[in-house]
Amino acid sequence: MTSIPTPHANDLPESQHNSGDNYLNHSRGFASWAFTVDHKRIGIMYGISICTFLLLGGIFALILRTMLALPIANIENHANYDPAYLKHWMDVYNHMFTLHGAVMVFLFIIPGIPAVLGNFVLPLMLGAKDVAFPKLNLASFHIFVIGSLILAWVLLKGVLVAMFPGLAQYIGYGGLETGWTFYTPYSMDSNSAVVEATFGAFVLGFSSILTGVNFIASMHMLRPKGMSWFRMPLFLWALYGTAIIQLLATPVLAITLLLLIAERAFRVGIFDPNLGGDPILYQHFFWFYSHPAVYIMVLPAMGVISELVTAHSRKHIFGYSFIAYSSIAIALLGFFVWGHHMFTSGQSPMANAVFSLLTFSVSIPSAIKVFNWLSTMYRGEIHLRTPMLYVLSFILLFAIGGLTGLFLGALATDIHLHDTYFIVAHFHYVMMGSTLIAFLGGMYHWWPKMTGKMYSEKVGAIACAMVFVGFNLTFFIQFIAGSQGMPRRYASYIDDYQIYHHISTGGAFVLGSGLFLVLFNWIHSLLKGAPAPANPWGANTLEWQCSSPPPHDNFTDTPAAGDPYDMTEWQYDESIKGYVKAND
Amino acid sequence: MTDTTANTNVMAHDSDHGHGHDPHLAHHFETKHQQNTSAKLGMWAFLSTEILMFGGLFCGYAIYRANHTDIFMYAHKMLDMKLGAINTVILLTSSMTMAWAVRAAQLGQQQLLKLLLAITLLGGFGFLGVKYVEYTSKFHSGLFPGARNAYFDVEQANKSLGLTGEYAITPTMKHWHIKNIENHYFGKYGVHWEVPKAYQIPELGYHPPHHGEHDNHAVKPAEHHTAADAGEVRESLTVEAPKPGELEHSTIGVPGNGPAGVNPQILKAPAHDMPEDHAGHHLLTYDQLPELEKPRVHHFFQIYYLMTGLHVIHVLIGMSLIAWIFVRACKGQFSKAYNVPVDIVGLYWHLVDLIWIFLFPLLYLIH
Ligand SMILES: [Cu+2]
Repeated sequence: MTSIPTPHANDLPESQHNSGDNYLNHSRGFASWAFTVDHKRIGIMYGISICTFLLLGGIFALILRTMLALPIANIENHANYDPAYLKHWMDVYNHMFTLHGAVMVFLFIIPGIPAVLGNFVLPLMLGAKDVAFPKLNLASFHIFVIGSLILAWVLLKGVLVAMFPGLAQYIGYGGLETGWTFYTPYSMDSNSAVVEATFGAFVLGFSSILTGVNFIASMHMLRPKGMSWFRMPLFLWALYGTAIIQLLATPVLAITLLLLIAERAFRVGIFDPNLGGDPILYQHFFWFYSHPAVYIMVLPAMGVISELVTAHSRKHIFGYSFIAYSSIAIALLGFFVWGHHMFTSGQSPMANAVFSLLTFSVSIPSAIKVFNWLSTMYRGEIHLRTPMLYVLSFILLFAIGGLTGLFLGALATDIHLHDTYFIVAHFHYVMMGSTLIAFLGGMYHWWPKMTGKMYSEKVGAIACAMVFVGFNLTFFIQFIAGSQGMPRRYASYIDDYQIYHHISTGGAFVLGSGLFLVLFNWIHSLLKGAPAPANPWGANTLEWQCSSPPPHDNFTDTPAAGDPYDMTEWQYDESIKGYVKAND
Repeated sequence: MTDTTANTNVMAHDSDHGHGHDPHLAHHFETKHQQNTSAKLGMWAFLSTEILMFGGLFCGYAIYRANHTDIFMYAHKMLDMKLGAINTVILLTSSMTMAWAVRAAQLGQQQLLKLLLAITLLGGFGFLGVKYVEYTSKFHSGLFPGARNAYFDVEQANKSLGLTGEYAITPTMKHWHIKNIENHYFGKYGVHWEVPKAYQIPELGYHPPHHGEHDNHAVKPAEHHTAADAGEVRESLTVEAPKPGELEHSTIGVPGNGPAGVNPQILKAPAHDMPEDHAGHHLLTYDQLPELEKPRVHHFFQIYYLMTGLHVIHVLIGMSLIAWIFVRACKGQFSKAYNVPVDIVGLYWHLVDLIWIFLFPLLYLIH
């Protein structure tokens, strides 16, 4: 009770702001966190680790963007440099873009929303005391830590060997420069730490699978009385779709990575053309996971947006069952489109045509969601709080990301656009413009519940604007650069592309500053934030019916579940700066 | 599933275990039934990931088999069908005792439960024992996983294993190594190559014929072979690289038109040239394989080791789980009221069995 200073706690009644025994101060000490089975604490620990990896991946991004803005990246200037130095410089660049991709994909975006927001919110939304298997949940966190330590070792080894080249003969080369996709045959020849990195990704996959198992069992078994499947909050539908993909796609990645390790370690030659193997088979295996993985990243983001858009528009969600079904449709369709990554790999024209058609079909459920969000806002009582600003950013950025996907899904245009900055821009709009934006929006939305503190709306809005502007500056220009022919993953470019790279790098720094401002806002809120009421937004999903922050056991009485989006009973109460149920 | 909220209010105030509640009921569940169903649902969900994980390997198997059928036809005959069949029986039996153990646990038959778990565990050991015999016999013939495989490309093998100078493998050695292997595994089908004495080396997969059969094939004991000897042997023999078979035409990547995708040229070859196996199927020899398929023969063994290896890992995990519930059964922790761990470990063990049921015919049986 004394561990967290809560200066304004007395301003709010105990039923609103829980300054007494809550999950944060229920027990103390390192072990009470590291070995907790409380889903809320596990969610917070995931949050801290994942934001650290976001920072790390972001630093790699800024380094690689800076490298591309320097004069040395322009081929015109190459004559001024020693060839050995140039080669070394390009080598560093290869490491940077690979590490940026691998850290962001495996350590931030894939676990991001399910592990942080999902873990924290899912049992609360179900009115439950915990997920179905609390110990398994802890285990999957520990596995996540082990996997990320393995990847951290890859980085550390890279740094060590760069500083002391002599070490390489004892511990091997570190870093990673194969691209995050580990394509064969290069990943067979690369002398970077491919085996360690793939093993790390393999371990992280287990964490993802176990989280999926846990969520599916929780949603099947722990829904309270009155919560039928179609009264489940849409975020949970999205997590359900995500969990299906985690269960069915991740093991294929696991076996692919095991085969890759066997290939490196024993030369089994399944993928290596030098040994009679088939490198395209690797691409098929890899994308059989990694395309659905795109939906592991974006489906929970869509779920977050569904919650935020209705809560901050103070209006019942429009087209509940369409949004719910479209989550499942995206999850299932996502399994049958992986071939669109191989349109130019010599796939048969028939396969190309089928994959192209299926790829286009994914846009249907995605568009359904967008139109339903827009309809939800229509004639709603829109509060432009920070989470809502992120919702608006999300809708615009996701629309751009989704629509540019059509250019890549079309066979003819893909020939021109594949492996250019166009695809880089496209997937950043989908992964970062959608998933990261939704993650930030969701963090703001549930921040009062997680921490029991309010954040500064003013700083939040400024940071959101910086992120939005910086993001578009960085990536919109890349659509143009790509359509003009700038290939991706190149360390240098001809003069014509310099202007695009300069603008993009400038934008990256605006984006980076915006993200630091977000971090500042959060830290400031933790230290100085006003106490949060139980329901600052007037949403009707169950997590707002326990006090902020929630008590150790979440609910004293299991709340009765009704329509999760019927907010009419919640009235704003100025005295607590939050919403209370009218009939209470 | 959403049937009960009756207990909640009572339970919420003393969430810790005890206080007259069932010690096996976790605080976030309301009924035992809900808890047990959750555990089983979770296990089934997890098993689906296991299926998908092996699915990747089965898919790889299918693709390699479809694209390189000749290789599979040729190489699968080296697997020991008898040992595979014994292992199938062992696993099926242990699956039965496991299912019985689950029943015994549900009926609270403590002694029977312990006995059946012990038998199941024994089955696991039996399976591993047979697998050990199988793997070692393959290793003795030079059919290793990875670059040491007798069929591996010579140049790549030397590179991968770092063999240079007189230690390097030569095409001639590979040639006689394969003849040795064919004598060993296809001898029962009537295949017999005259291997020069210098190449009747155990390290090259040479297995002496059974006593009294071919006494002229006396083998030098392994310890008499020094590197110098091997070098001498290599120099003294001037056997050229393997004679190209009659069938040189490349069929790489071209699915055959014959039955089961067999290279049609092989079907056209005169039947009297080719030995037949017990079922009357033509037996391929290495020389008869299309030239461009020869470097890929090792793939069959790689796939064999990968699939059975991953399966063995699952057998080990399953055995550890069974050992764990065996210990718990000995401590008397299971009863009519609480036995769900036995149930979910049983599900896992059945999966291990199920995967083997697919592996056995795919690798050992189908022609
Ligand atoms: Cu894709």
